[in-house]
Amino acid sequence: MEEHIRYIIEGYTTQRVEDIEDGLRSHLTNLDDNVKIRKVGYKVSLSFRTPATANIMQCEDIDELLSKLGVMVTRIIVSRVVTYEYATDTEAVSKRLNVNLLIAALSDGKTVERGEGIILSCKKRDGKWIRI
Amino acid sequence: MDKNLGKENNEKIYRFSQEGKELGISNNVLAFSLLSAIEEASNYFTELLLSKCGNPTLMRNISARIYNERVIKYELFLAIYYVMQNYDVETIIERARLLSSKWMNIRRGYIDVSDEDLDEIETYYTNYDTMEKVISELNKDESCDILNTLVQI
Repeated sequence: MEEHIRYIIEGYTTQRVEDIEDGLRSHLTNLDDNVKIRKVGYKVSLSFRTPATANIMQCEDIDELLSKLGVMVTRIIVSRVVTYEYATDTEAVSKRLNVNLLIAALSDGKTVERGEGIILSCKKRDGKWIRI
Repeated sequence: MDKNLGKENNEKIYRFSQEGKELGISNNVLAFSLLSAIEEASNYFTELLLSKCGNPTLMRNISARIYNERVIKYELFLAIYYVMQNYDVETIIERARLLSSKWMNIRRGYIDVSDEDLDEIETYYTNYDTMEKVISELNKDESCDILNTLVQI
């Protein structure tokens, strides 16, 4: 089982997804392959993770970094997550909902990433970051 | 959002689509309303999980993100359905992605809905009661675990 910190960031941009990812990687050297950036129109959502031992970036720091990359950030969620290989449940035939299987299906692929709790979440209101 | 409102909404919308069928309303409109019922059902399931989990931070973040993302509502509904069918994890992910993107296209009005498509959506919806039951049986920790993962989609 491995622990990580996952950042989920929503915002707006006119930049290309590839450029944002390159910029992100050059500023944050501790990212793994699991970087997801989705852009629909000008709306963008970014999701990446750092090792559990890395310092947790505060909303203002994340905002400053991403504004350099041309992203206007509106919302940030930082969570502690654990990843592990999904093993088939032997008692899956029971009538209860198989929560492990559901979590595996909701996270991305064979390696399960389960959220362990939100550490920090904030959004921008009137130009200031507020914790929510 | 009041969770009973989500339940009431989806049941009303479903009844409307059933009456619409008898009135000869087009498949596209019926599919639109059935998918709205599924969205409301998915909201209701999320509300059920939130009330069991009782974590206010999760509640604020889930309501800000999930309620605006139609595709997540479909994926959650389908994932629960396929988990109940006990498919393996790859099949669940693949099917949930494929069908939710098809439903998004139907909802946007990009696809002309056939009788088969309409039956398919209805078949999924009619499992709503059983899905509600299994979600109601989950405990606090299980509900929080699901929501903590859902907030990261």
